[in-house]
Amino acid sequence: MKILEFAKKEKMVTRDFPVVPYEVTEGFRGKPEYSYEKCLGCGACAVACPSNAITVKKDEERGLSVWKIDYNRCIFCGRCDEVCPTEAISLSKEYVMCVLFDKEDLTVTGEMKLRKCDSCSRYYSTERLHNYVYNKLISAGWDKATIDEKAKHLKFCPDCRREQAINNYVNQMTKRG
Amino acid sequence: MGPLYTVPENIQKENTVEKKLAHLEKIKRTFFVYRVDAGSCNGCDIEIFAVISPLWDPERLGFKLVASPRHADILVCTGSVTRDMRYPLLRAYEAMPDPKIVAAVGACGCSGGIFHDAYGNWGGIDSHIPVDLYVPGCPPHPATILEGFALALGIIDQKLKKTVHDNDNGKVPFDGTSILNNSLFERDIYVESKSLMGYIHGRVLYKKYCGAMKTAKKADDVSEVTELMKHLVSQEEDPRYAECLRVLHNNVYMQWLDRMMIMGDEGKNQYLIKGA
Ligand code: SF4
Ligand code: SF4
Ligand code: SF4
Repeated sequence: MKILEFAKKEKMVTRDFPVVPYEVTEGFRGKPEYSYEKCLGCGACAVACPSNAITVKKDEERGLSVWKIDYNRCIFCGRCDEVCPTEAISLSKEYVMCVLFDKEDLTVTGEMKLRKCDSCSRYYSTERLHNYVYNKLISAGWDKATIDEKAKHLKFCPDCRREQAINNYVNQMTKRG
Repeated sequence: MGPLYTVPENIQKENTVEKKLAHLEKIKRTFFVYRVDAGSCNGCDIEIFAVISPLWDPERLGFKLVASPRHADILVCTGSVTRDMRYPLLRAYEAMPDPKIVAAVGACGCSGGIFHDAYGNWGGIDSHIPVDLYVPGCPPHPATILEGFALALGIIDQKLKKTVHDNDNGKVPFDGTSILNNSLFERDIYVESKSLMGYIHGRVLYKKYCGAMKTAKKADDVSEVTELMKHLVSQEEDPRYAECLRVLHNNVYMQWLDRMMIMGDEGKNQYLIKGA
């Protein structure tokens, strides 16, 4: 009885949770929300993710880069949020995310077109990443000739780029004698 | 490698999805829960105990913790199944009456979580026994755990569905416009904001700064921008943001004016914003 009196004096602390949504505080680390429109497929998040919840795989047959997050494995550390250049993935306040029977329901996949190297026609990067870097390049305040010179290198895979750099160097050297 | 554990046939026969659903329908008003810690770091267990506290009070829904798996309707498992906890987990599973409902709580239980490739553990409850309810999180918030029970009992519906985006049109979230007609200025502001305030608050700072700069008629008109920034700093309620906005203006912006040959070091002093 004493407890009841005490309880009457203090107010009810139990939350009406499943009926009334729970209000989380500012800075709550909830489910990382993925925005496909903003993602470049750069893979920085996959490298940063300590539990490998995010993977970015090359699907050569279909010419796609497959970005995938598995919330089953996510530990809500926010490293993906920290490294993402475009805020395509950022921690939200969402905490409602249980699933019944099928754990695939806890995955989000984004497929992005891959780009071929102009020289050796191997896939090396996503279209989006190429376009993004190009847009950054043309807005960095250089003159047209410099931009063209720099943009040329964008269209080749790292291997071809290296080869070209060496060839250029050798050519210059031989010209100089 | 073959399966680590094959569920015996008699148990399989009693544990079809239909039977489980019918059972969940039956136990809607009161369900007995047995908890197995299969090698968790204890974070998840603490959150489960937080759920049982009066703040969340799952006994409203009929939740009852029992001391033996033989009395349990739902087996709540946490942890990534270490080698030593594998047999206790299997024994608890086999000891439960049919049909057995298994909930995996935490990233470890769902898939192995942060320990998924560590030595000495098997990576997730569902690499051994069939799991029905997945409660992700590391550790899951009490609200998430409670929501899991409510979901299993059919009180609320499942919110998440498997999502696949595959309509790539090559568009990118950057159109090449920039405040000072040079995106490197934004880059410098962003880098400085992040190093001043970290990635969460730094991003807010960056948005505050760039949002104000965009309202300026001429972003390279130093007297206008200084007035604008002074106003912004005086309006800012949080002193941390005010101070960092000041630093952005005094250091990064002034440096850029210098670099763009608009103003050198000489006339600079009158446009610096002083701290409070
Ligand atoms: S929050 Fe951490 S664990 Fe989760 S996806 Fe991002 S980096 Fe990975
Ligand atoms: S870091 Fe951001 S842009 Fe890059 S792949 Fe991850 S989500 Fe996409
Ligand atoms: S999910 Fe996280 S909190 Fe839970 S047992 Fe694993 S490491 Fe610990």
